[in-house]
Amino acid sequence: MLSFFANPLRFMKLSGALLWPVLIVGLGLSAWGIWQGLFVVPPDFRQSDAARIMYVHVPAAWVSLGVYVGMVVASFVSLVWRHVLADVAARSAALAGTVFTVICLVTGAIWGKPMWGAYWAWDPRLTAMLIQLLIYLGYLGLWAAIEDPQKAGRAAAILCLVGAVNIPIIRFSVEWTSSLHQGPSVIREGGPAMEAVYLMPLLVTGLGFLLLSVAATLAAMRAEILNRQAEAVLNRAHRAAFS
Amino acid sequence: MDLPAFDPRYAGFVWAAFGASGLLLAALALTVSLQLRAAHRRLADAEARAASLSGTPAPAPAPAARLTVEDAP
Repeated sequence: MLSFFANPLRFMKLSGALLWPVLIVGLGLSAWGIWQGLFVVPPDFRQSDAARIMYVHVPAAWVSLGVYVGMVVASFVSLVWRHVLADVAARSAALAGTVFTVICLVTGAIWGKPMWGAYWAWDPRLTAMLIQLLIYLGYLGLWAAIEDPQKAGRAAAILCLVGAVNIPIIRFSVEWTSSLHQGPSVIREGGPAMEAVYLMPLLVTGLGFLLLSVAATLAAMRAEILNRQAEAVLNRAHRAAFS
Repeated sequence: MDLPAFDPRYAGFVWAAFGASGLLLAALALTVSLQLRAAHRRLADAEARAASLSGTPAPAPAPAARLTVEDAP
């Protein structure tokens, strides 16, 4: 199966057919979830309307971590099996992951001001999320700094695997420490700690954001493959002309 | 349809959070679409250059693909 998807031509065909449907469904689900979160869901009895910020903050956090887990898998496949498209996939996903991490941090800060009285606190969960953003930026920076794509792909894959240690730290920081950040309320033992009316928009927005990140990744992968094709065309032409 | 008014203590924060998220998502969409567009142009340029090197007539590139250093007068 891995070798089936290792063919860039096959990937271009498949991704060309998938890109718009994924984008449109992602936009639709995100719009529905955000509409519900903003205007339909009743205000929280303690946080009032400030709780609506969670309908973008929480899904963005899920997608930030989900994209990184996908990058870890792609990096592992790239290092072990030298899959042609794995490092392209990891690199392409990093941009979407970075944007969702920034959304998570910005919306968290905006929520923090009225609720905690401060935009930022050096809380374990917040700090681990900030480190996650630095890992994303470092990963993109490493790709940009090394000219040879093979060397860059290998170095970035190793960085990505090392950075994976931060994922459980983010996930469990609220359980291991006395964090200011609230504990898990959706993915936890005993099921979600909220009513369906609050939970559904959260899950739908999460799925919508995930599809948007997949669409952004597919588009970025297509751009990277086209760039590599252009380079190959030029190299072939130069060899034929000057040999 | 009238939209419900938010608690005035938090309305600014809610709109700021959703507005910032929308802007960031728009920036992502713009970046990726520009990347894709530039890649298409680069491939068209490369194919035109390859054709000129091999001496065969180049396929007519898209107008944007002509905007390269080589095409400058």
